[in-house]
Amino acid sequence: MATVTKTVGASDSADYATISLWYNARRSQPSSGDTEVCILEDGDHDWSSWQGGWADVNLTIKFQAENSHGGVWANGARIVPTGQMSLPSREDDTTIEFIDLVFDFPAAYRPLYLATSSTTTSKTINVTLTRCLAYNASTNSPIIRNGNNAPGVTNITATNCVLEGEGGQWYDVPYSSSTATDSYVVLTACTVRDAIITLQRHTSNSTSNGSVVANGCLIAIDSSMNGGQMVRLTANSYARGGSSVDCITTEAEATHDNWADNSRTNATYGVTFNIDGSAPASGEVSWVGGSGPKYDFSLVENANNLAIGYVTNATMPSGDIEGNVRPGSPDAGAYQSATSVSLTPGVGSLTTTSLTPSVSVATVLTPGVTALSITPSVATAVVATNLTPGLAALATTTLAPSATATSSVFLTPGTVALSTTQFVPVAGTGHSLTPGFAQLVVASAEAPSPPIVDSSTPRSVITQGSWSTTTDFVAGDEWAVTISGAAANAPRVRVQLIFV
Amino acid sequence: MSTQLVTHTPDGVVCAALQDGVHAGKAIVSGTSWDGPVTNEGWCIFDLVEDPQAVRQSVCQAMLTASDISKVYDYFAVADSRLPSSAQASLAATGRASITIDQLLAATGFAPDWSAGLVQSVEQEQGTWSS
Repeated sequence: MATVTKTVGASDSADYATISLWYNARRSQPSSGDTEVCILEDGDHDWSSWQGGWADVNLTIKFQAENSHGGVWANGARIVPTGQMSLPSREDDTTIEFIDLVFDFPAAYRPLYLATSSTTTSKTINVTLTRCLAYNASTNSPIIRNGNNAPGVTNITATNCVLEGEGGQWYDVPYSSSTATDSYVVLTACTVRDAIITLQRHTSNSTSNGSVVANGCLIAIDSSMNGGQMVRLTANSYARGGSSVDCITTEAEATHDNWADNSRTNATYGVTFNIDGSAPASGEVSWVGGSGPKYDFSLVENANNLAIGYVTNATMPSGDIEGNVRPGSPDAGAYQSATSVSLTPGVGSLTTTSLTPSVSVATVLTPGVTALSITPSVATAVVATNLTPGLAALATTTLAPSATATSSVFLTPGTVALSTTQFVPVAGTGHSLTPGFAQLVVASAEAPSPPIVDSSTPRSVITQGSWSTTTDFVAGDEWAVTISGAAANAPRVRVQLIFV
Repeated sequence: MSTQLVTHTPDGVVCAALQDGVHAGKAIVSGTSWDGPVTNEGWCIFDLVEDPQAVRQSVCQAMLTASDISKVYDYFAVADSRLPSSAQASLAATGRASITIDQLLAATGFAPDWSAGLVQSVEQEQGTWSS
């Protein structure tokens, strides 16, 4: 069950320059159950190769684009063949997958041709296309041809694909009247325009069964092509088991039911498809279009576009051909529009705890309407402060005598510090104390004048002073007041500053 | 513009006819030099002075009744033993050799399971058979 991956392309880092070189390097290597992966670099690739030499074991071959085409025909890895890629003699089970590729086929025979040597060994062949753009300019040759002459089952599955043609088939079975395999085609989330599935190529073949199941597809077939019917049937067709769910089609009801085996759910018939990018009338489908062939099959964003939000029953892939996520009620077809994704009006909140804004970092914001809740941070403002001229009361309770007075009338000599933080600032300019007059009132003090009074009655000694130089104060500055004289026993001291 | 004709053992089936300057792939030619020695996996590269279209048409006209077909690979094989000894020695040494178109044609036959009639059938079905 090994998987071996090799790269094919024009770059120096590719393992092989062409698909044919890759095939010749790998053809004899696989064991039963192995997967051979061919990663295709961007650019055109010719799949013309006769791949009849693969080890005949149960084998999966996967062709996968290195990069997505993004829904654009000119981008990514493109299969532009000059001839057929043929696996003509498979006798064991085979799965061939194509992922994210663009098929750009000319009006000539260039198919993937599948066939067997034995007419008796039953086998299962699976061919899957995922997120592929496929255009076939031919009106009579397919992209995939099933010439399996042995019994068994061939399953053809296309998911998130565009299948565009000019009235020719993109898949046909049987190739000959002796083809015996049953063939089942399942289309999911596909956009089909003028591309046919041929379930019976030969009217004389009555040995094989076939059916087509379509889920969430847009189907536009011109009335001049196979009578406007997506599936070509003949008198010996056995389109049993087919069904249609959530499909929009140009086909008439009877035409659609002819291949859908009368089993359809939520199908809308006879719909007008616009390919010119015009706004659709109610009940119509409009594609962006552009210049064709190889149109832009993304949907015109318009509420009238019937395809938008149409799918309610079918199980659709989680993403579309471009990888866009499909919502709960997805659009029909390969492309998911944006119109069907609605936002409920209201206020949204974002958790900003993981955001660390910084003025030095360029922050890229996603365009859109977003309510941001930002917690205010603590800012320190520099406020110009002035001391208001007038009378300021200084708390003196923290003043304590530095020594015990010998008498209750004496103040302790020493220095007390007055903090200017006790001043109440007001808005203004400058940070200066206006030169002026300061007055210190001491409740008790030793001073020659007035005379010392030994009494329990509070005394007052008033000293006066002034300064003449403007002094700038900042937070934390202190103003020292020196009181000298004999020690007092815990006098109350009141200091008054008068600014004029 | 010359051609790199890439063949693969054991049958010497022609697998590609690349233009001069095209890198055959790092699994075939080492490093990033397209004209370097061949590495492994049984590859051989023949360098011819003619361009790929001229090589294809020469082989086609020598082997088929057509003037041109879609490709030279898949259908034909080159038998190393029918090449000049100098070319064989070069192949043994480096996995590639410079040969003339006449030397190529002298060593070319149909690949296993292919014949002139089968080639014609396939090419006519593709619409690439030029009489």
